Amino acid sequence: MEPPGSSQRPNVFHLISFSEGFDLSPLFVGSERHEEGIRFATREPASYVISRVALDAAMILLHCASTSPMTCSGGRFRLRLDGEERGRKGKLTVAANIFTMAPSMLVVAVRRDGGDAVVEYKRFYSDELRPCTQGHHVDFVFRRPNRHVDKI
Amino acid sequence: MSIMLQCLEIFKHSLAVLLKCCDLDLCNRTKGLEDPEVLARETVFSVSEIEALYELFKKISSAVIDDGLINKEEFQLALFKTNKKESLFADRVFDLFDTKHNGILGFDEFARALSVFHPNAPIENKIEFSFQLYDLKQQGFIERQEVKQMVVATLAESGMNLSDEVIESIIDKTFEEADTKHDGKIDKEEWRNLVLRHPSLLKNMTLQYLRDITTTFPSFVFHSQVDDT
Repeated sequence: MEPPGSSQRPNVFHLISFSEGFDLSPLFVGSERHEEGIRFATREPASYVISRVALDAAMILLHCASTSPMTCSGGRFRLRLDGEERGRKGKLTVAANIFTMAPSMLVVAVRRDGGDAVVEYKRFYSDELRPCTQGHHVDFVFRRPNRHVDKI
Repeated sequence: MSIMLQCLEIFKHSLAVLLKCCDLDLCNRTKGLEDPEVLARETVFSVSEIEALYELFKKISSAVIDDGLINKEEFQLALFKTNKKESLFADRVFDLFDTKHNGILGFDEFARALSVFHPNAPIENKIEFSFQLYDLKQQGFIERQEVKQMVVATLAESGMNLSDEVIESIIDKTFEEADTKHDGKIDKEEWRNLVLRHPSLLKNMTLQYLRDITTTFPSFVFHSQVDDT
């Protein structure tokens, strides 16, 4: 896997744009549950993160059939994971974007990219993704405050 | 006798003026949306989108005080689902929406600001808005200090610490690329160039929800002669 290119490295404004106050979509979502994605930062190299995320996703829930080839543009890696079985709303697809903010800091943003949000993604999130970020290789997680009452 | 009549006339006239003023006030609050066509002409929205937006506006603006206006608390409530959250960025967004600078948002201000976030809005408007957003002190340029303040605020929101060293190095890298005039600040032109090189910087400036707003917030107003196309 080639190292991230330095020419188009994501910059500080990308980091700032992760901030909640800048995201106005909750104005429209109303009382609907805000969908959890997760962003975490780690010092591990991208390859470790990829294999770890892919591995976890490949466990029970997703029966990962394929991961699309790693696409790397600039300082960013993208990984897509497609669930094998067709779920309630098509295959559950999870996308992970990995940004190299600084040599010692990667930010990984994982979110649902397709498929059922209500049951399948929730399960993936709580059973796979969250535990994954509680491991020692993750430095910190960008947290969203509880916008809704019930936790997953 | 005639003096009395004159006084009466003056009195009646004053009363009429007074009533008219009151009437206008009441108009804004209870009559509902006046002239969606005007807003539709001057924003990227169609008339039915304006009406749908108005439904959203009514919902947000009645959350705390039902006065047909969005105050800061109602804005925070709509954004964070709690009025207990203070946010540097939400404050900036609110201030930019509040073009009349009176601490509250009327529907006019609300619609015009959201127009910039529509997928079809011109990119120049998005570039302009985002520049003003980051220009915390509104001096016409984005200073390094302002950037640092925003990074620290973003990290604090997420409950984490990065060493000062790492923060500085991230900012250094960005300024190396963005500050082509090497004056320690990013002016509008430099911002524009940066954004055109990194279009994803504007992702927060587009709300796909605005495309479906007429289905999310249906309004039941019949128009006999309005052509939406």
